[in-house]
Amino acid sequence: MTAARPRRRRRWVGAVALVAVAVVTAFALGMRLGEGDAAQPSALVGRPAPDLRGTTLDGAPFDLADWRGQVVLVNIWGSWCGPCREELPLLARAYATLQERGLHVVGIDVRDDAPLARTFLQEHGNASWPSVADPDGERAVDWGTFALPETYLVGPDGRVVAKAIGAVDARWIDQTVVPLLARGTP
Amino acid sequence: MTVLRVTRRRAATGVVVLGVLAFAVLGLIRAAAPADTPSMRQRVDEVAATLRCPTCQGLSIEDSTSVLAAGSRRIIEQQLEQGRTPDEIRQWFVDRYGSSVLLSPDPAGPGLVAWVVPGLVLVAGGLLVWRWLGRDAAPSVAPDRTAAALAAWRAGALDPDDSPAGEALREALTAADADGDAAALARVASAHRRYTARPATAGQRGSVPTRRGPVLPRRMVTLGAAGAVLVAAAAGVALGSSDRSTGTGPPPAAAAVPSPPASVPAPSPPPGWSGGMPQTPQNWVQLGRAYDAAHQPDQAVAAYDMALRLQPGADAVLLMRADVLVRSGHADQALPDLEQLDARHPDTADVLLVLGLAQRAGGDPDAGATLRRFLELDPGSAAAPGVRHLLDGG
Repeated sequence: MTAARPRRRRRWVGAVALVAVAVVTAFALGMRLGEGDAAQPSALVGRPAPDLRGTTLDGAPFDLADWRGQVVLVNIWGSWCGPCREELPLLARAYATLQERGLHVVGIDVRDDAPLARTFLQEHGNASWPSVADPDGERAVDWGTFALPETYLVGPDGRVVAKAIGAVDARWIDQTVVPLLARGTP
Repeated sequence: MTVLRVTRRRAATGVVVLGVLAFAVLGLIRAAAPADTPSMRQRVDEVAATLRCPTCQGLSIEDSTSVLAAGSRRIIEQQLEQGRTPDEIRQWFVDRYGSSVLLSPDPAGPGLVAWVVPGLVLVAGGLLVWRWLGRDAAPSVAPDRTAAALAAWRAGALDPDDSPAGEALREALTAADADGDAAALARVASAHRRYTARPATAGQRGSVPTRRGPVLPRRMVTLGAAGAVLVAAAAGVALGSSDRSTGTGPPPAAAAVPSPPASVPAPSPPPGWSGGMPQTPQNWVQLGRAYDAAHQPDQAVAAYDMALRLQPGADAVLLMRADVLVRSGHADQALPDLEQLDARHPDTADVLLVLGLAQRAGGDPDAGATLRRFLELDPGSAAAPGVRHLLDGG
């Protein structure tokens, strides 16, 4: 009886320790999972936007730094990407409406054929903004792209304000982009 | 005498365990040692293997052939050339993709749990097994319990149930009752151990109260564990050597290849092909050549695409693919690749030949200059007479 009691107590201590380890592990893993797509779409949000320099599909030089002080949408796309096709008309309409309020748009055209890409832009909404060619996908990786299309909102201070994964919709434009234009500063 | 035998056995076991440990440690050291003067491609591979491919979670950048994996490899290569360390490059990716881009969890922060828990579980498990095996170690326990079980059986107090372990125990007890030699008693001991260790049933009756012993003999557990370590060590050594043997070939230009992003359907081999379905880039290239020779350019291009998916950066394959496209009247599809090949390998006769032919097919006025450059570089080429004929207005 006296020997059984400490043993039983030891068993209890073991069980409690096991449960504690399980809870801590689950919590830590939950935190890690929480860092994923839904809660924090990009590690770049809140940080200075990566450089974006290169040649556009029309052969002109481009440097994102020249647009410092403006609100910029950086859209990562490719003419071979189905959802990009669906997204382009809406993006073109938003640009047409918000251009006067200071919205700038630049594309990063990933692993594409320049003539095909130009035709694609004309056929799907006649997008008139520049697109920097990214033949190897390096610029897309520099921006932390997971899959095409993705769109980054860069504030006037040059920091990434938000990121949309997949095709942007009117709601995202209204709720995320428009307020930034109205305020002028983030 | 018995003590001497036990001591000898222990010494032998100790030597075996030490040998296995030494072998395992040597294997680990060998596997962990850096390869002799790794090429840039190997260095890129090493970093790429530790990073998750952005577009296909679960695969490393090294293993993936997705759209952005090639870009990631280029970035790793550029940063290595700039003298950045693998850790700095990994941090560059973490800054953009978050810590989930690391295939091995970061030992700082919550990732520490993933590193520590397996070790703790291993140690705790080892201690449990050690204690469990140690319970029956006292040699005086077994004869006592065997005698007690036999006495209980004779007195009718022990009535094994109908489980297989119970049947076995009953048989062993009957045999020992009739002929009480040492072997019969040993059988009773082992059968009783299994009987008391069997899963508890509602109608368990008449077992002699005793502490549970191990289900598996200790020697079997020890030998099993040593065997497992030995196999793991051998596998480590074998893998380490194979890594080195495959990594010493000439490094191909580690450049991203603009292969089609959409998945390419795998072609089936042509009639007369006896090599089975290819598994390696080299086999796909062979298959592509076979298709080319069989005048099936579409299938040849598809086979080269499969080779390029398995080995992005194989510029020689890219050139063969472009060559097939040009000869089959699809020079426009080959031109972007050829221009990039020309940029990466300037003044290379083969590239200039195919590029010149592609430009000529597309009506590009540069075609003449490109083909003349080819002739200057390789005037003795088998293709030279044909090219001269073309340039002379043929």
